[in-house]
Amino acid sequence: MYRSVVAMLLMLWVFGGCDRGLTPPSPDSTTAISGTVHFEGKLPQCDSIVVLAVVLSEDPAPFSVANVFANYGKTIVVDQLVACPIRDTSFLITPPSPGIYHYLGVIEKFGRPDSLTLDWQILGFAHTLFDSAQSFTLLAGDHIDTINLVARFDSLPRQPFVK
Amino acid sequence: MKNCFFILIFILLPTVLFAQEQIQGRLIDISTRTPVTGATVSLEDINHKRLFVRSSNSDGRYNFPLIIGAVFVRVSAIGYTDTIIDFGKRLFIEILLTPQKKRIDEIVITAERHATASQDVPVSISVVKPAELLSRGSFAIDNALRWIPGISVTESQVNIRGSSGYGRGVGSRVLFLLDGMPLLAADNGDIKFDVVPMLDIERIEVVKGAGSALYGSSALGGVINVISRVPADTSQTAITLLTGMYDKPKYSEWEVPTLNRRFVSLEAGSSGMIGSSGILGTITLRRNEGYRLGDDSYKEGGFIKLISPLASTAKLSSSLLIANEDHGGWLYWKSLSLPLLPADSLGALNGRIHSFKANMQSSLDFISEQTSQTVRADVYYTKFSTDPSKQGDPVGPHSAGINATAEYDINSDINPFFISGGIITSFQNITSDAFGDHHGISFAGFGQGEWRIDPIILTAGFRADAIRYDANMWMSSLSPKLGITYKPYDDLSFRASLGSGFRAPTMSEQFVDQVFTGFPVKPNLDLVPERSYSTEAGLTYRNRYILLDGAIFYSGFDHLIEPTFISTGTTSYIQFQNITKAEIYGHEEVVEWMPLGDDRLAARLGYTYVYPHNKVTGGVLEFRPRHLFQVRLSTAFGNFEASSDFRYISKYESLDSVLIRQVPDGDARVNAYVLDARVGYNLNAILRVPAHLTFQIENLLNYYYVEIVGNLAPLRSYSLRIETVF
Repeated sequence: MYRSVVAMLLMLWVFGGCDRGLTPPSPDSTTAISGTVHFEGKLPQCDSIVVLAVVLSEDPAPFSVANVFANYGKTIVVDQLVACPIRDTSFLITPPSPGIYHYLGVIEKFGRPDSLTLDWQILGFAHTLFDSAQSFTLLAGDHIDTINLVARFDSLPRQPFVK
Repeated sequence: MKNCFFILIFILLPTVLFAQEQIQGRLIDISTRTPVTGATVSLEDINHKRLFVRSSNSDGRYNFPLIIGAVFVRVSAIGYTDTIIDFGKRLFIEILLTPQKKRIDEIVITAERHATASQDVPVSISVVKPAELLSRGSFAIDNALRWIPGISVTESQVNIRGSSGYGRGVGSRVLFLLDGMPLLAADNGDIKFDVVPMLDIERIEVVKGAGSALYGSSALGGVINVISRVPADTSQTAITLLTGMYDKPKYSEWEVPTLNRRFVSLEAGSSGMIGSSGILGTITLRRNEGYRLGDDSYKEGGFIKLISPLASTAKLSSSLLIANEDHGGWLYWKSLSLPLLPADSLGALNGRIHSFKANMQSSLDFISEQTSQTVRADVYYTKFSTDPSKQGDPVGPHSAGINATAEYDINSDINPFFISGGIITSFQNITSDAFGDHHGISFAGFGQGEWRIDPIILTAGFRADAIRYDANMWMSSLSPKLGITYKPYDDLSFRASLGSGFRAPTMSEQFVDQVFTGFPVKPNLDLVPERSYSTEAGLTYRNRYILLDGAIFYSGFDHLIEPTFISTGTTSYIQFQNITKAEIYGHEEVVEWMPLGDDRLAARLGYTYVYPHNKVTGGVLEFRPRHLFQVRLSTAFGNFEASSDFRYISKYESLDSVLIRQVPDGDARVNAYVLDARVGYNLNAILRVPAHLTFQIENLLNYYYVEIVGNLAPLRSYSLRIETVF
């Protein structure tokens, strides 16, 4: 009995000692997109902002807000930003899988906090020279870290939402 | 504050006023010369009629008021031969007890709501003894619970044999009691593990399986009863100082250079007699800088308890517990790349949470030859507030709640029957920005009978509960129980039981109306109570050297309340709903081995297998490990002692799908291998001071795992503890 207990404990010790549990994701395998959000123009009162975030969507615009939340974490990923005081801030998004992402923008929820789907607006988005949403192809391990997004509260860009 | 002072005086004053002249004594084991605790000591007249009954305390001491006509003292203690002596005119009587040639049964009070030998109860029960509690030097009770076979803990949820998952700090499927009275917050219905000073805990009893037939709501998966110490009969002061620090993470990218990671804790208590009343008081101060940024805490607390014998066969007990805490607003990590940084840095660093808890209990016990009656009252107040995370923001979430309970119990021992019954009423009131202002009221009655036909004990009981929040519909429940114990030999007992449980939705689950990290959470007034039934069959064999316990169990659950993501096309939100139907079955084995027949060398192994089947999805329930394995080894020779605890928890097979959408790397999880080890030395041997020094390493393997989504469990820590009693 005594020997078997000691043997079992030694096995557990060895096994537990070799396995360290959770480890940091390997930088080579982390797919990410990061950069800076620059706020321009007249800034609103802090308490008018319910949520401020950067959103990355696998689906191209237009999309419905209800669809955004139905696919939250799958085809849509966000990095919630600190809302106040409003100043230029960095963001980092790690998508769940490599792929082609068709929309990257700064999103704000204002107005009614009791409804998830009402009162959302895009303050700025990554676009091409022709003002269409820029696509990003993220292969496994890719980290695009040079994105600059410009967000304005007083002059909104074209909204991607289904009317 | 002034009102609280007068209430305290009102409760404690009678305890002191009834003080009077007394007979004192001490019970000693004749072979080991150690005190005998928990023995029944009774005063008898010339015809051996029982006049007064007491129990010996942790120091083996007892006392009685001086009663005219008293001639004999009778002592009954499990594991010892009954002893009767004529005490003459002596006022201090030391009684030597002779051990029987078998292992001493533990006495438990939670399984049947009265003192019973653990081998006589028809359900599985675990006891954490004072020596084990002290040796670990834990900050809070949850750390002691994690080492009990069949139990895992996720934040404020205790999971007994798969009954609970992770409820986001809302509700508990295990009832938490302090000295038999509920200690669940009125708003969230959650457990606050750190309110009771560890120095004042006599032992912790855990009943596994549904227990609503005796205890009502929340006893869905089991009952945890924290039993506080009784005051010592001689003046005694105890001080425990613990200081230590967390190790750095192994991976340099996880390091947070600004963190000091230190912790310190001081508990100091004194106990003694004022006249014939016993009194104890303890204060606690703790500072923990934490191993994660924004997760530090300051805690202060105190506990006072008074026990006084009254004029005849009665005693009055009163206690007051307060705890104050200020801690960082940590919710979950930024990502697995940065697990020691909070997702919301400003919220964690600035949005500090302040909480205050107070519990006041008073109980009056009347004991006669065959009957004991108890009248008890209990008030539990909890309050928390959150600082704004940014200057200019409105104040964060805040809530205050009060839970008041009054009950009357009666136990009657009419051989071969033991009858118990009682009535209970409680009132809850909450004021909260998240849940609104609400109140609740409940009424309950229970009855239980035990029929002892040697070697069989049959038990049957039921409890009826009715609960109402505001002017909503009454929620009611009838909870029956049945049990049988068969003891063919002194060493061997078989048990089988069927119990039922229910949990009324908490006010927070019904009335919550707030935005949580961008997600609106909406109230649901249509929630109905969760229900469960559990059955088990088991056996226990014990002798002086070994204890073997095995059980197979099956539980069914219905109407389980879970947070649900709802999208209607035009609107989306989270709401608590009765959605899950589940069944859990498994088996549990416990082996305790003491090769020398005492605590000098001891080993305990526990293994629990659980299959938590979600009958709605066909998968497994969330946050339930399938395998739990615990080992404890301890040794004590002369002035030296050492012990180690190891636990293995298999990784969760299923997680809350709503939660992992909100938390980066939320699905990161592994099997957990956790090893704690400690060595201690009695300084009295070399320094001639009554002190004990212990060095402890927790999570010695520095194993990185999560118990809840996005929260790395504590890193390896080193601590030094010094205890002195004088």
